Amino acid sequence: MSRSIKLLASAALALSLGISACAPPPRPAVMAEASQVGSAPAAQEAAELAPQAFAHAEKLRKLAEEAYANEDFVGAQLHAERAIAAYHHAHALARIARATRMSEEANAALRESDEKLAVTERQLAEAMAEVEALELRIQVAKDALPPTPSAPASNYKRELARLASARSLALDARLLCAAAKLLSKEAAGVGEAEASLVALESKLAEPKPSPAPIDEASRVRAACLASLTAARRSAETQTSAGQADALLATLSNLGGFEPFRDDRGIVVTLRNVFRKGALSKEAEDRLHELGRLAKEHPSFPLQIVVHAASPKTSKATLDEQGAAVGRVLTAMGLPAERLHVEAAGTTKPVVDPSGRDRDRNERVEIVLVNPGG
Amino acid sequence: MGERRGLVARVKRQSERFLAFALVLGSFGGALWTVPAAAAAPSDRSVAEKLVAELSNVPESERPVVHVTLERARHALERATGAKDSGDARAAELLEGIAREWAETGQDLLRAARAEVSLKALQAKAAEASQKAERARMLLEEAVSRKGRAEVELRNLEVPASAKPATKEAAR
Repeated sequence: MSRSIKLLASAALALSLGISACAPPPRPAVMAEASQVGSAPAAQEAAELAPQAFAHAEKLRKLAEEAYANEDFVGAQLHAERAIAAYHHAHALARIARATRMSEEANAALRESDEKLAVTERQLAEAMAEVEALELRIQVAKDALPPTPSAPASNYKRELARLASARSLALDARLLCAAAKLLSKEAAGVGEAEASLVALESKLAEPKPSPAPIDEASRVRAACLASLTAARRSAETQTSAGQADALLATLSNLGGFEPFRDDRGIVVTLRNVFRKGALSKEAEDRLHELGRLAKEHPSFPLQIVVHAASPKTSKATLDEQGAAVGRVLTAMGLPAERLHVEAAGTTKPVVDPSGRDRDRNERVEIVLVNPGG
Repeated sequence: MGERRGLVARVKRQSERFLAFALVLGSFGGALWTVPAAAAAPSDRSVAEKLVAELSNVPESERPVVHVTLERARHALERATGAKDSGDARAAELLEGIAREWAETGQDLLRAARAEVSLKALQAKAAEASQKAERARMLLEEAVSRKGRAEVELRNLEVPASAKPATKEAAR
């Protein structure tokens, strides 16, 4: 019995050994990996964006399958390895294709935005120019409105303040009328405005005019501003707003001038212009810079306004100082008829005339009168 | 009879010369055809080695992009050399193909990475341009409304006082 069992066991062992010897070797793991890589989402993207490279990888995987079916196990292993590399390659090509396509889209978007921006900026510049022109007209229209009559001053101090304001307005009027005449001697209304100005100034020359002619000063200033606007219209040298902007930008870039705009044009303030009664070297250099700019913009006449820090400074001194500044500019070739010198005195201080830094009130303003408004 | 033999011999000699000429011409033509064909198809090994050399010299910042594929290409080339040394020419050929595939993958991964970096920069530029255009559009809208307001204000200022509608106070 035990012999027959042993015999049976030996037979079973021999049979199983025989079967296992005849069975094909297991499928190389790399073939399963190739199938896995080939069906991954990256491979699907490659099939869409790099179809040729993906087909090449698929062909290699099929070659691996065929080799395995033909019991060429080395061939199956190596074809499968190459198929994996080819799937990765196809995915790299798909990334390039995708990046190229998206770059084209981004380029198109960039072009579109640039075009939109160019159009919008042009429209914006036009709209802003129109807005500035309108706002200037509004300002002129407002200034031309007759002022509301002032009520009598409640006290002496207030009356003095009104008198100072009236003097300041009268100076403004004088400068505006002078600017108008620089642009056009026959500007409409300038004669009448100047006649009113003379009357006003004679009233202001009285020791203590009472009541202070502040309303009259406002009216005269408005009349001079209106004549400047008229002069700009008749000057026939219609300058675009862009030219004044460019001039302002150039002055700002030069540094040290701190230019600003007012009704007349672009104003530059020079300080420490005179040392011991003579023009300082620094001031002369700055005047040369301004002169060069003025020569480049022949349609902008110049107004030289000399301000004093102390009421003791005589008008003759101020006139001489203004003339000295004018001589520097005319020596550079600027025609004298393009210049107007005004001795403003202490009428328009920039800081408290009784304060510590009252010396800052001593200055020379050079106005590049804007011919185009 | 003798003349006929001489003619036959001459024809034979001519034919032999023609044949020799045709053979020379043929072999020359064949050489001309095969040389460019051979030159146009470099071996997988030479392509792989060239690319491996190129990829080994990429800038430090781009090395991570090609590191894995470069190592695999190198490894396949080493295995191909081993297979060749052991006389397994077919395995060597297949392994050289694998090396080429990895090397070309590395090259294209590098191109892909560079294209993606350029794309990112371009997209940022496009986004910035779009924002600028949008800002300009808003400024334009604002300027147009400002212009409208200024026109109304100017019209009101320029209307002579007599033309203005009488107020209740004025009517009294």
